[in-house]
Order: sequence, then C-alpha cells, then structure tokens
Amino acid sequence: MKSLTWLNIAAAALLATSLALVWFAAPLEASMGAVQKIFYFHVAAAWVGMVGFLITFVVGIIYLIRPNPKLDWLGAATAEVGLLLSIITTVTGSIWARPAWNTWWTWDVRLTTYTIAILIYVGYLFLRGAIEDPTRRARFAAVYGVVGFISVPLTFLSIRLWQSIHPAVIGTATPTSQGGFDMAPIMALIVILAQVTTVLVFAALTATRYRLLELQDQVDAQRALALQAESDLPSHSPATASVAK
Amino acid sequence: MPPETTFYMILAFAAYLGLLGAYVGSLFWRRASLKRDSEALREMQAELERKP
Repeated sequence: MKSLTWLNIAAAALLATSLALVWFAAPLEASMGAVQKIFYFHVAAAWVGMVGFLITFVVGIIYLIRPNPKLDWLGAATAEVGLLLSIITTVTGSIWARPAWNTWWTWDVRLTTYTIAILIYVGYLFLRGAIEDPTRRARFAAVYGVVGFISVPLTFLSIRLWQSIHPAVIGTATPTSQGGFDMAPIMALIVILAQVTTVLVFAALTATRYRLLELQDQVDAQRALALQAESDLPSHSPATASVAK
Repeated sequence: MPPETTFYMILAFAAYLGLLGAYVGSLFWRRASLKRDSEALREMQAELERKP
C-alpha cells in the first residue's frame, strides 16, 4: 500500500482513539461540564491551523527566491487545510461560548482578529481560483501568502496586547490575559494526544491535497497536449476554419 | 456539581466531525473529477492520433 494511504489510515485510527478517550476517559471539568471536552480539539485545531499558515508563509518566501511548482502546491495545500482547522476552531469555540459566556459570538479582540485571518485565507483561495496561468498564480499566491501571514501573529498576540475575555493557553502569566488551565494528569495526557492527532490529521489532509494539486497539474498538461494535437489537425487549422466561414 | 452542558458538547463534536468529513468528502469528489477528466483527455488524445 502507498505511504499516503498508510498516513491517512494512521490519522483516522488516532482520531478515533482520541475521540474515544475524550468522550469516555477524560473527567468532567468542574466549572464548564461536558462542553469543555471540545477544548481538546479546539486548542489543537487553532495552533495547528496557524502552523499551516506559517508553512504557507515560509514556502511563499522560498518560492519567490527559487520558483518551483512543488512549493506552490505545498503552500496551497497548507493554506487550505489551515483554513479548515481555523474554521473548525471558530465554530467549536462559538458553540462552547454559548453556555460559558452566554452568547454565541462577541466582537472580542481575539475573535475579531481570528475572523480577519480566516477571511484573508478565504481570499487566498479565491485568488488562486481566479488566475488561470500556473506561474502567475503561484507568484501572486506566494506574495499573498507572505503578506497575509501578518494576521497570524496579530491573532496570537491579540489577547496579550489588548484586554480580552478569551483565555490565554500559552503564557497565562501575562497580566492582561484572563483564565488559564489547571489539569488533572489524565487530562494533560489526553491534551497531548489530541495535539499529536491533530498534527497527524493535518499532515494526512495536506499530503492528500498536495497529491491532488500534482494530479491537477498533470491533467492541465494533458489538456494542453490534446488542444495542441487538435489544432495541428488540417481540418481544425485556423486557415481551414477561416475558409469554412 | 458541574453544569449540564452535554447538548453543547454533542453539537460541538458534530460540527468538528461534520466539517472534517465535508472536507474529506470534497477531496474524494475532486479526486474522482480529476480522474474522469484525465480519462476523457486520454481517450480524446487517442482518437486524435487515430485520425489520418
């Protein structure tokens, strides 16, 4: 079996194991109850999604220095999967916020900067879809991926720079941030497992998307060849066509 | 006693798995679509090569 298939199987198996542990082994958190269990995946999806955007940023810079279609495919794949994980983070966070903050949504600084980052990467995908020429598309996407990345550190630092109701998971000692997590050992273990699972799911989805972009490139080359062969036929030559008119 | 928030937990996991599943489904659909295009182009190419 191919390595990509094995990667997908491993990711699916680890996801099923993590879900089972979160549902059946993780203890109930005292102040939030059962809904806190989504945090295992909410937090993991948030930072892995941002890592996806970071990879798009890095390969964008490398592409601009040394153009290579493989870098473009990697940038596109990580941006797309990063966007998926960011949307998952926002939706699951909103569902958690309903019982915790008594609202589905609030224009808090973290939520606002995160929404802006999501919209920037939606724009990235629209940009890719709007440009036909692969070289031009790759160059524009690389520049966009580099410039658009500014939204990621801004989102990460937002709760440290401004007052926010969003809990700070990393660096809870910052005076302007609120909340934080004290965990039982079993909870900490499941948190680590959920992070590893999300990294593996990200890798599997990115590799699959990369493979599809590679396949798309082959189909585009096949299409160009077919069009070339058709235009080379005497009955389809422009001269013949103009005579026929 | 923790508050009763099971409904929101189920909703959140349904959203998580639903979004993930929809994306995986879109990957399968795009792969099938590309394979179909590739096959059609191969047939077209073969037909053009057969023409005198």
